[in-house]
Amino acid sequence: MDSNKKYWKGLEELNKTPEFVEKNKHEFAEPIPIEDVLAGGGLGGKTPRRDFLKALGFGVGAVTLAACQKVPVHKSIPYLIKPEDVTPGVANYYSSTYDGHAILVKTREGRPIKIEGNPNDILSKGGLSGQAQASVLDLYDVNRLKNPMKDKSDYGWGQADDFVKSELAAIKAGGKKIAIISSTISSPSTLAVIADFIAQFPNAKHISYDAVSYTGIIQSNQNSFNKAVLPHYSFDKADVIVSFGADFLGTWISPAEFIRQYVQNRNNKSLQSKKMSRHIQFETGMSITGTNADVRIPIKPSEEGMALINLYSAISGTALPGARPLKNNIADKAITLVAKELLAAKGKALVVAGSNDVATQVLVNAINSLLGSYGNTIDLDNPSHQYAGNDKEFADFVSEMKGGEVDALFFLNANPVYDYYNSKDIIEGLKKVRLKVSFADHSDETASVCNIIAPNNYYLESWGDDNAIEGYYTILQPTINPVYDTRQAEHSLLIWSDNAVKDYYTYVRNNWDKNLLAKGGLSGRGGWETLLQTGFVKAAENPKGAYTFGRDLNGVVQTVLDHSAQLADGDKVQLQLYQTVAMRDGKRANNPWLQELPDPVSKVTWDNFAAVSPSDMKKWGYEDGDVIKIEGNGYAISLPALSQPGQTQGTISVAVGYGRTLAGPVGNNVGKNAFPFHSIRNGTFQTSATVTLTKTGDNSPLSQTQTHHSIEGRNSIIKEATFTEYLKNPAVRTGNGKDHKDYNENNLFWQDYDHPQYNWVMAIDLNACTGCGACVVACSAENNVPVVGKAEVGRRREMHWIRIDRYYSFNDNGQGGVTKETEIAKLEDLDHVRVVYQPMLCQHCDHAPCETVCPVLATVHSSEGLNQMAYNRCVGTRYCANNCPYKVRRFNWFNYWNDSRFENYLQNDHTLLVLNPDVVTRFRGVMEKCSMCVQRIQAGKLKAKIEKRPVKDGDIKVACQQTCPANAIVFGNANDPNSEVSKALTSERTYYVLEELGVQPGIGYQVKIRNISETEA
Amino acid sequence: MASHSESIIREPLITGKDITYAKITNDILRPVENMPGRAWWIGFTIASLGACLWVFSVSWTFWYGIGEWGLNKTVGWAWDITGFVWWVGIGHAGTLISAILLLFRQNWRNSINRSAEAMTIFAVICAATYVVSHMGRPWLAYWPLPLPNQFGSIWINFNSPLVWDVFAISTYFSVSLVFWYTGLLPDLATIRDRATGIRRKIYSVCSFGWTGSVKTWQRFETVCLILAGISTPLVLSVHTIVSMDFATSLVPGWHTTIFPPYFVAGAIFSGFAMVQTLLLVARKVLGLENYITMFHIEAMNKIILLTGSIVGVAYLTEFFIAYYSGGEYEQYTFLNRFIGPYWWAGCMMYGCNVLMTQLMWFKKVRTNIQISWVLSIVVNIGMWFERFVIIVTSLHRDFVPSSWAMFYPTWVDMSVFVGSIGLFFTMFLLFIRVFPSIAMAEVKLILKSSSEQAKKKLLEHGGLDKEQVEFYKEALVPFDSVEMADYEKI
Amino acid sequence: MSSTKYILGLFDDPDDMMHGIDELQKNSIPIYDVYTPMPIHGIEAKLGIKESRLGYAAFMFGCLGGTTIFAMASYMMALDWPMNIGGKPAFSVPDFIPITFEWTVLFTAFGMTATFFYATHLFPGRTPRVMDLRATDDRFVIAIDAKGNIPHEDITEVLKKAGAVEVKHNDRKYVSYE
Repeated sequence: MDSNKKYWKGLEELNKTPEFVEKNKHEFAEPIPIEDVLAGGGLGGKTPRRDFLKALGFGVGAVTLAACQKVPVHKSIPYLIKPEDVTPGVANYYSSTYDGHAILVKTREGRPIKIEGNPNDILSKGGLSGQAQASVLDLYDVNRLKNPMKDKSDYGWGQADDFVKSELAAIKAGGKKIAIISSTISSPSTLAVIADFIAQFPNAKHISYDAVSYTGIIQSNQNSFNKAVLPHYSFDKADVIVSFGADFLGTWISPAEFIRQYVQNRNNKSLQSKKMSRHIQFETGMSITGTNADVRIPIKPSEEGMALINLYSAISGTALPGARPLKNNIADKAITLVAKELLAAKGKALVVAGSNDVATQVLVNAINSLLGSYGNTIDLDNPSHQYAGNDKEFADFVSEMKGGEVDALFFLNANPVYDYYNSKDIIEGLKKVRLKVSFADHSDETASVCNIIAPNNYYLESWGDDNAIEGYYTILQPTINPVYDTRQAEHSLLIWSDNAVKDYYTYVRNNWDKNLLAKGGLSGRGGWETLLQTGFVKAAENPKGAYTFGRDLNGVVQTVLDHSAQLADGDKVQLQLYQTVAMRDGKRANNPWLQELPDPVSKVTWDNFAAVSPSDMKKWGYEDGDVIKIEGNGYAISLPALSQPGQTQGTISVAVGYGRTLAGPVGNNVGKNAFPFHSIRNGTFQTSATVTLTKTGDNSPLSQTQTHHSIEGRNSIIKEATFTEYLKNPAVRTGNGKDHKDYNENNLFWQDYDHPQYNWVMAIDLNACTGCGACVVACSAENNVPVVGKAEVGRRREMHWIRIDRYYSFNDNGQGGVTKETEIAKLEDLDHVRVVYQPMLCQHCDHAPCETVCPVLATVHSSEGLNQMAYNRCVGTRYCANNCPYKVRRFNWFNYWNDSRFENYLQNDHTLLVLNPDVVTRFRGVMEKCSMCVQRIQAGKLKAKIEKRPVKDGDIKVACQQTCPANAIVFGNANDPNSEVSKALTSERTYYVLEELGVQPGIGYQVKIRNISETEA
Repeated sequence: MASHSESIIREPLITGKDITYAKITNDILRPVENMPGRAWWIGFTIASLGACLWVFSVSWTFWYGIGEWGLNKTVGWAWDITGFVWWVGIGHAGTLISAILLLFRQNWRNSINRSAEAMTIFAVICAATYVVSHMGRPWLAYWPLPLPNQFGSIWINFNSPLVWDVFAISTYFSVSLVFWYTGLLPDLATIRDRATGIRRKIYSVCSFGWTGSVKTWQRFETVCLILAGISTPLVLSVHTIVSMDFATSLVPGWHTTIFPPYFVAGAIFSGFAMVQTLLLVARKVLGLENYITMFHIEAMNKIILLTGSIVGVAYLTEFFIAYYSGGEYEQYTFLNRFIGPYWWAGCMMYGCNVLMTQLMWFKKVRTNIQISWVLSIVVNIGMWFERFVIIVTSLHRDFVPSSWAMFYPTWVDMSVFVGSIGLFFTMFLLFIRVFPSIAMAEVKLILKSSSEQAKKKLLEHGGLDKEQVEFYKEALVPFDSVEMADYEKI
Repeated sequence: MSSTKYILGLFDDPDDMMHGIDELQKNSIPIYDVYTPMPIHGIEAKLGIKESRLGYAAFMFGCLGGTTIFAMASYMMALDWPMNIGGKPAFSVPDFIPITFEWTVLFTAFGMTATFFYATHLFPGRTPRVMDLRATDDRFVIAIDAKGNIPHEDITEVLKKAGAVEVKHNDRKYVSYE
């Protein structure tokens, strides 16, 4: 039976007094005065202590509850059905193409994370430029267009197709012009697509436009030999190389390839066969090529013409009309000497000029034909297709457009609004164009004024092919599905031109089956598959004809002299425009790796600047970083000045490729745009101008990764000798063999540890290294090195694991190098500067000073001779970095991967996919440094183990070595006497940096040799 | 026997008339037993503001990372380790005074050792804060201790001078603390027995139930003697080991074999200067002129002069060796101290430490309170710059010129340093309020032998060598706490 | 029969007190203990107190400390997990010297002081066994157990004659701190 007893506590409840009822409503007997307590007045209340305790209690309770929040769950989902070719943790490599180079794309779990050169690449044999290395990052650029756009608003592909097709139909009927503006296209299939398109629309026209153009050379060959081609140069066949402002090791035509060729006559192998090429550079600004030259003569742009004329006269022996000795008598002397050397090396000589002026190039052709270069060092029959831009054609087109004769426009990988010297005209003209389509994958300067943007796939998402030089065909295959809703430009063109084949992949296949496979002796499906594996086919070379220059030069000379006269105008300063190795023409401005890659010569990051010669700095009263206004060709920009030894007096050099406004958050407004200083003359863009400079008064410091530029006479860090000395005694400077003091002999205090199986070491040939910096980018990509941005670099906190030290030494009246700060200050002439590059990375010392001082054993030595770094043991005392004589240790000052202040657009989930999963990202407060790509070493050992064999020499290539176009870096096992590295280290030129400290570094450097006789300037 | 009278030619250690044991107690306990005066409050407010600044800037560093400091890839240590070594150096006077001077039976230490030891402890605390806050990951500050851990089990690197540091600093701190507190017990008992209510309870807890019975005193003295015996090598070892942070490395300018004695001398130098700075103020504010007399001031000035000169010799030796070694990096480093971008720091260092202290050869300077005070501060400025020069100027241009860089401090660097000074003074000001700033028992010990009145009695008693008497009177002239008038008639 | 437990002779001068001790001993009056605000040299001889053996304790602790850390270091560096640290040998004795020294000192200091506190019954919060409050200030106190030392007047006399400024006849042994 249920009880109806009534239980009550206290009489109030029993006889429900109103106040009891009232109280009962609340949770607490008395309300908690949180508000008044928090309002501050609380403790002033009548019973502050109680209220305080209540508030306290509530606070603690509340916080505890809040702290009980569950940690967000990160799901990792396994493959439901595992793709047969993907093994988690194992990388796949796919052959593909970058800029005509055959490459291998490393993918992990289906995402491309690294670009590596294809070791069989005809051009650079596996070497790649920094740009190529950095290109993988752009795939993950979150600022790429995610879908088609019409008039700045999202649009569907279907709609876009309908719209474009209807427009085209109408325009075709209308009969006005249709133009496809593209930067040089060397892909046969793409060209075929365009051809088909033009066949469909007869009033269409394809115009190649290069921001940095080589029309001058192409035209000159047309004029000289009726072959409008860009020749294929062979620097490896040249014993004497004379370059007039051609930066062929940095930016000219095909640098990665040229570096390989050039170094073949200067590296260890060639030296041991007592052979070294000779390289004389006449140039205005200090280019990476000039820094590598044996002799470098600074000349003004206005003197270049006369110099060539004199050279021609000296070689031919008959003075050309108007040939006068140069005012600059050092250059004048040099010309005559150079002429002698060139003649002596007839058939093994090569003269190149960077100028884009037809007349100048004709003159160069004449000289080369006198020297019998054609068929030897210059090949017109197997030309290069890397640049085909036609300045005149484009300029004419712009005027046509302004005249309203154009109705449809397609921009393919071209951005004239940014990089054409007269973007005003273009914008004006575009207004008159009915259909403007851009295939850009960013809404860049040009795309943003088009009415349709049909975003192109990134090259890593695309099918295609390339044909950098005659007979060398490479295949481009996708390594990932299009990340966004983009479509390959060729595909769009096929659709819009109602091609029989709509799908570009099929189109490429057909094209290869029909025309290209056969060239490589391949055919059918099997052939295609072989191609996809090897990555390229090489057709037999066309027979080389000998070309002799037969035209009369008087007219040419006159044009050249006129031009020089124009430039030499009065007391005006001459401006030379150049490309930096990192930025080139600025198409990749949104790539933080490239922005942070120091310029090889100036070591400046994240900016362009006005390079001024030290004497002019004094004369004009500039300090480094002073912002100066540069006016010329009706255009003006303000840039910080930088004292650049070797810059010709009376000239300044400014890099193009900066000052993008719509590149993306990284590249926007970095530096100033110098393209508008271009001018068009005799149908080609001219890269020099006359300008006036004015000091603006403000100063914006440049972020350099190196601020002290001389070696201070410390010849145990840098050792250099002349070729003549080397021939006399190969062990010059090192004294290897006989008079070399062994700092490691009889260690009095303790037995050395032995490295039983492997002893990983490295050899770096200072004579091969050109300082291009590809290794720096490769290392960043391989090891997830963070980007820290301009401000932090300015505070000397860049994180690069490998850096390239650049030292200037000045010639004191022709005799050796002056390197001491104090003495340099006394020098008059700072124009004749010698440069040496030294790649500097962790030396993995066997007696590492960093290891001894770490209190927590975060860095210790491995049994394979590696200096290891245990990040999660490091507490960050930075003692190791202080005690490192090479200063190669890098500290994580901030949590770069997770601190919005240093985000540099790498911190979003999408871009982070580029990270190498084999290497952890480092946390704030820990030290990091080169690990000699220990992950690659482990992978290599694992592979060997699975294949039940010992690790072979060359199995393991570290990232910097792999990408080095000069093969300056050799890595391997010192325990194996036959390994490449062991051989390299036994060379007489080998020395160890700061050897006398007795830290026993694991990286041997090889003496820098200059092919000069002491008497020369 | 306690009553033996000291020779007349020694200057008195306690001045003033009719000083009794009771008066000593009253005088010394005045600040402890009464409410603080205005001077104290002003000082305390400023100091605690500094302490707050310290808390703020250190928290800022912990939150955002060491990057908030001005350090870079080349200069990995700057103001942090400079401050650390500076404070450790200052922390050397106390134990030195109480230990070495005790062994040498220098009775004048009795009236200064207490506050000197307190100062030591606070200075070492400030130094220790730097040890932690300069780490990249301070929350792992316990990793340099030999503890088992999840790295199964990776121990610590006993080859690393930083580990030696951890041991040295912690030992030095704890031993000094023990020494200091043991010495405090009798005085705490005195306070206890004079106090009432809650204060009595507290002091009775703190005084461990001290009674002052014969056996206690006897053991007490043994303990103090042995502590002194072991603290003497300890105090020398600590800065020796700190100097090894540098001496055992290979950075030119650091790798210097004379660093241990050189650093120890420098430490005593700056330590005594700091004691001087504090006591010259304290004796005025707390009215302890009778117990911290001109004799003490001059004695300390003499030590400052001596150690300063030792440091000077060390500097010269460094330069000579740099020149004589022929090592190009070493030579450049030392040239760089004068012609490099940090020449001004070099000048501060050599100027303040060597040139200024040479003034102390003059008795007029040694016995002039104002000048001594200024000089004592100059010395510590100089010593700060010494560490800055050794650390930054050596690092910023070491072996490979490509990595040469400048160091520019940020506001955080500065705040942490200024703040640590605030922290130090906060602790010291609190100390003089709760503990007797002079060891009463030890002063009482010398009352009968070396006080002015005792010696006066001797004079009045007469029968002393005239010359000695004159000499004694001469000596008394500079004393600010002695009325020469009393000596006319004698 | 008086309720006096202890007779205290209060002196204001150490020498008088010493004199007092002599007097008492002459009269063969046993002295319970002497309380002074400062150490009085030579008194332990008078009262026949043996020399302290703390020194031996200190030495033992020192040895312990040194061996402990040296053993630890050797085990950790050479036995448990030897590593190649900058090419230096695992058992690098010279590098162990500083820490060995430090811990020798550390153990000595702590061990000895602890022993001192233990032997003397000093620890935080111990109720002080104090017979006269001024014994820690400016009075030098000789305590005599009143039991069996009669007549008290004579003792008082002796003390007075020896120069005691005051003689107390206490009924409680210790001052109460309540």
